[in-house]
Amino acid sequence: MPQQTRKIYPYVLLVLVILVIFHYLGVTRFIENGARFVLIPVSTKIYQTGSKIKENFKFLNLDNETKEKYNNCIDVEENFNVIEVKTRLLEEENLELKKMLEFKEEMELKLLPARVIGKSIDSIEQNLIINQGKKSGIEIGQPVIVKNGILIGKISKVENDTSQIRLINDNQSRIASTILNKNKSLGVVEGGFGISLRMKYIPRNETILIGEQIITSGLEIDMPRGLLIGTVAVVENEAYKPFQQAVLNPATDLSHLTIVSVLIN
Amino acid sequence: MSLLKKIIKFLLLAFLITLLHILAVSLFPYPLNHINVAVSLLLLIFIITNKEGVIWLAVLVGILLEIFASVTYGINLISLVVSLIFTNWLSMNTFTHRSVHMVFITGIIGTVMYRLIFSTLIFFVSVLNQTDFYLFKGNLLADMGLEILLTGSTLFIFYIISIRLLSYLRSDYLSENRRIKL
Repeated sequence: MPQQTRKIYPYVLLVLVILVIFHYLGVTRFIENGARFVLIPVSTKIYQTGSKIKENFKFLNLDNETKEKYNNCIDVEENFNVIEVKTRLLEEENLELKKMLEFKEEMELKLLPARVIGKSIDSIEQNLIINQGKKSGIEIGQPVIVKNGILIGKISKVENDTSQIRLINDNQSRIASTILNKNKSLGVVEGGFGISLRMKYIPRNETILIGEQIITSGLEIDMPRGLLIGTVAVVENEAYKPFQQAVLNPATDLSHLTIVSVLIN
Repeated sequence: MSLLKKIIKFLLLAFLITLLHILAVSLFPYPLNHINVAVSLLLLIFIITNKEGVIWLAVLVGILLEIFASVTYGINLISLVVSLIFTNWLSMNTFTHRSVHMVFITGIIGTVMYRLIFSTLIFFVSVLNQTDFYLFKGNLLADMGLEILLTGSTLFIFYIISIRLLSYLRSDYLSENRRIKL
């Protein structure tokens, strides 16, 4: 092996360590900002083009009128699901308040709209990059929604002007959730199964039906109750396992999101 | 002036590799979006040119890719560079026989090393931050396997194409030392 190549290895490793230290000290900020200035507009265009291609691919065999009707139906259905969840929660809340005399604390939540400008470079992860960051008040762990009530993910990384969202179908995503069934079954919705989700740790003795809606349970910090996650598609209940699990369909298409909202407390 | 030209070419190449990687991740459908274009292109350049300057190119590409990385800063950069150094060492000491089959195996090993170092660093960072990292959850291992296979295959295809192109463009390429063995 060439002597020169072997000699530079320690220097390369030293440079790597120095670069990482300089990043955390803020020394390389101007270089990173310069690179962002060049790369982010290009990646935004690439992402938007990719979203349009994926959207149009669905309509290869449909005429214009049918395409329009199809899009309207999807919007109406998603909005309907959100309204249905909110109505049910309001009904339950109303009943509880009538039964008990107690103070109900309300969280002041603000919606911050953001545009999706790209995807994370790791294809194994399901992370999106948005054009709002620390300067807009975004913090790690804040939920991200679309259409006023459908949860799509949580903020996983924050920079000054950009942030990253870990989508609910990412393999590291876990959301505390509730099924809107008779038992109000609690469980954890996990991603990492392609386009579908799985809700795990549901008690075996509780009944789950296909089509039932899953919402956030509110048991996590910064995650309000009532955000729609998806609907039950398949129930897996095996006698030798202590818990049952459900395969879910997400409430919205996570593959080409363009405008999202971050819930800021 | 020639040094300035070299630096400009170097920067342009790094930006090009970064943009091609972003293109693959954003535009390609499943499973092609699992191809790690940065690793395959850097390995290709390593194998063809055999110059140590490619390691510095990998450092620059790693820095640019960190802008779009969702993990802690440095993990992606260190994984990329260390895996390329290891693969370079392997190709110099073990896989000295430059056949196309060895190139495919080099691609596989390079991507395996990248993922191994990546997962190890994420594990240590999650232990330090007291957060969770789920390696054996969902389709993560299957996705990694797909990435390894596709990246190796892409490198194999790129190598064959580039060798054919170079053989037409450079007459000195048909010397004994550089002939492909199929």
